[in-house]
Amino acid sequence: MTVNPIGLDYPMKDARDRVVGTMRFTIDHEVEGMAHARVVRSMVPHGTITSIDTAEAAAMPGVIAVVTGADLAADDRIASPFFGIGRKDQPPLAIGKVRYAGEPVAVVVAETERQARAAAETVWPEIDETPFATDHLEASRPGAPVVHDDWPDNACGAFRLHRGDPDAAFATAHRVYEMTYTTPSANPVPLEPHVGVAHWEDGRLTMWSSTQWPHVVRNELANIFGLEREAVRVIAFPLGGGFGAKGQVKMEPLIACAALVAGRPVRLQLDRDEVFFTVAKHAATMRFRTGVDADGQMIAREIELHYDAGAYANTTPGGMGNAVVRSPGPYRSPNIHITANGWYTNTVPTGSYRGALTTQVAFAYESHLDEIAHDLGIDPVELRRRNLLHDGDEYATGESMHDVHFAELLDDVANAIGWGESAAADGDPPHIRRGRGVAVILKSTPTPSRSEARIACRADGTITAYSSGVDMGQGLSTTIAQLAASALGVHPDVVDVVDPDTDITPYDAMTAGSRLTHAAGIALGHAATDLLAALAELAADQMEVAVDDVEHVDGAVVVRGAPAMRTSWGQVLADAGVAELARDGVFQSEGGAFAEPMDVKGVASVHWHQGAVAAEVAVDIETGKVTVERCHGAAFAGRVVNPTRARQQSEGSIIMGLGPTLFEEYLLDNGQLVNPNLSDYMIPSVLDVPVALTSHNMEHVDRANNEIHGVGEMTIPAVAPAVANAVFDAVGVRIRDLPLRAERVLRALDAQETTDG
Amino acid sequence: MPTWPSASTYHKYISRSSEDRPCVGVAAAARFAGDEIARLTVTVGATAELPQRFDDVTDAVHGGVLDADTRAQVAAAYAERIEPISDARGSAWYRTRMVEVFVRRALEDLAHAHGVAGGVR
Repeated sequence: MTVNPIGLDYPMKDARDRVVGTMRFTIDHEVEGMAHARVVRSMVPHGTITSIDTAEAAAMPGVIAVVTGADLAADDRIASPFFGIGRKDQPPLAIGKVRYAGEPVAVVVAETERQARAAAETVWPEIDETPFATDHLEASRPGAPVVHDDWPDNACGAFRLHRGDPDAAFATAHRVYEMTYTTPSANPVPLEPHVGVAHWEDGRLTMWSSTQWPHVVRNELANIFGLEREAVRVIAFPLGGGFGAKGQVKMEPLIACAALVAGRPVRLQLDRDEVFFTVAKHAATMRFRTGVDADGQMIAREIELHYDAGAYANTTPGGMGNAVVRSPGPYRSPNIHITANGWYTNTVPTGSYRGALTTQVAFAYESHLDEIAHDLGIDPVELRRRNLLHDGDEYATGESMHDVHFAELLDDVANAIGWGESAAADGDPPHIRRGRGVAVILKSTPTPSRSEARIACRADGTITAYSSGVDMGQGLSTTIAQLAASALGVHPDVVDVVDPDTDITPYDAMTAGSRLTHAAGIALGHAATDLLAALAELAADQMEVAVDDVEHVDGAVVVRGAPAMRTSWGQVLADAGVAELARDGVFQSEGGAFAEPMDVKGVASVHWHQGAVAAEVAVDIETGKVTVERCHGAAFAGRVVNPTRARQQSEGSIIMGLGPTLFEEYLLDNGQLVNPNLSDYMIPSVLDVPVALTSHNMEHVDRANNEIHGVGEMTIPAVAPAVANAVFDAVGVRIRDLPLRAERVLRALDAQETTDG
Repeated sequence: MPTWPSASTYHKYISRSSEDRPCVGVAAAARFAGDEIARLTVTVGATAELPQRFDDVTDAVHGGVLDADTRAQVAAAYAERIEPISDARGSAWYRTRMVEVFVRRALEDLAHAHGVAGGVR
């Protein structure tokens, strides 16, 4: 009898291909007759396009087409040259005006990439520069430069939550605290840049793209070209990293437009600097005001969030709802008022960044709580315990919380870091100070959302699982094989998994929000149940027994009580003359809290993601440099599908989180991004990984496959506040602005000395 | 003839990721005659347009002892003399501070290597 593969370290199906270099990514894909594109970008952050001289480029060797935004606007094959999830405000190429430095203004298509590059350098857009705003608070003020004429106040989404009577509660509070925190913009930095190939044939578009959202890309492309969805096919090979950068719609409309105008299949692969120009994390400014009673219970809260949308809306308008519901953190909030506003600025358009919209607020609320604890003289872990949500508590949204494990996670990380013991280490030089910090976070998963899956069984004995979930290094295809195998009662080796292809694999909303293992698991479970029932019916007919007497064992049917009467599923189908038997399953979560943007309430998340991190830092008080020496993360997984990969998710999240905590940030000068490369923009290297890095994925092993939680981004939001809290513990300075740059810490130490002196 | 130097060190201070270029680099070398400094050179890199060396500052302590006061004196003089660049690795203000810290730490290494009376720090 096959062992249930859930909870086993089943190796990644493509591990060998990844190691020896035979893994196929979109970056490797070629189409016969393919031409190459190169993007010309705006050098200025804001202005009106007066002309774009393309004549010289068009005459250069190998050039097939030079396309501008004006060309797209005039092309009657393009129904609407605008795209966007929240608002259709983004053109593939700037039309009329540019809104950020680095925005595409023209694309050159040539026979070779080198020819396209050479020609692109000769294209010179004339742009009348206008005043620009790169700071979201500046953009929010009356009289600020207007990024979109349709949104003269630069408003890009607004949500509000009000619960209880915060004013009255503040009036009775023992103490009231108010602090403002900021986090900067950053880039997810996937190793594989955005890359795609578009191919038009007989009015039908095929798009190979490094995307996390293939079905959404298909729908957006259909909308742009006025096509039926079925006339667009999107194929996504496994990604060389995503981390949110390849969410929503990115370069696909531009590539498809270029291919349409050029009359050739067109490939575009971005350079690293262009990845920085394509998507950024939301910078944020967050004011937290909290009233506590004498025991430290948070009885009144007021949260004011401002997110930088960048030049185009993308997910920001709706995303502000997610920012609202994630901002209270894992705490009881009986009286709370929250507002979240997105603001257009003349900066790189924003999108998902692992832990989307959550890493910002988590830094704020977990730093804030630490500040309150220290002021009240209450141990920070103890103050958290007094306020954490438990099963049955009502959240700020009014929903009743279930399957809540924050207290266990907090205890786990506190114990792992040695909370309560001295952090000082023997042998440290006198300029080194050590400290420890903790943070606990929650994150909603997109709700409601939909995932479909299909399982097919064939007369030749093969079994195939179909999902549009994208493998981006997390090993999703292997997870799908494990989940399908578990539901069918077979070994994962016998389940093939098909890469996402909108012509073949059924609808899936997105590979994002740590939702796929949960959602696809449920959809595959339904598909397997129906498939097994159909096989049983066929077999019962063939064996002339009652359906109820048919059992499934290791990919075969047997008659209950007569194990010798055994027929493989393939044989059952062959005997029935059925080449393939397939069944679909659907995951459709219910709920939603955003029907009324000014009155957020309801079930914001089908279940809540839960994570915690504890960190120990060493701070050099002469340089301000922070070194994270130890880190432990904990997440609630419900049921772990694959222990090694789940651990890698939690620990990988921590490593990734160290970047924006310590040194990652977009640096602007006069509206220009000055560090769009991996020499001037830092990501953590292997030497930045804490000497001791551990994690624990909490689970209940008796759980069914439909109670699995995602673990892709449970620890990352807790990293920055845990480290910032540890810095405070070490040296007594509170840094409310990320990253915790050495210079910033040293200046704070200087200021502390001045104050104390 | 003893070969030059009798003690040397290099401090590469990286203010961001371990893969970053240095914010400040300090190379220092010394030859000692007994407890006395026979020769001392200090070169600071990654801080200005060119590597910086101020022989008049280090020559001034020849014949002295590389004790804490001397180390602080040389470090302060380097910080005073260098006009640092500003970039993402640190502002000119910050680099000036780091020059002082890392020149001093480099000289502590030399003193420690030579076993200067009073030791390090």
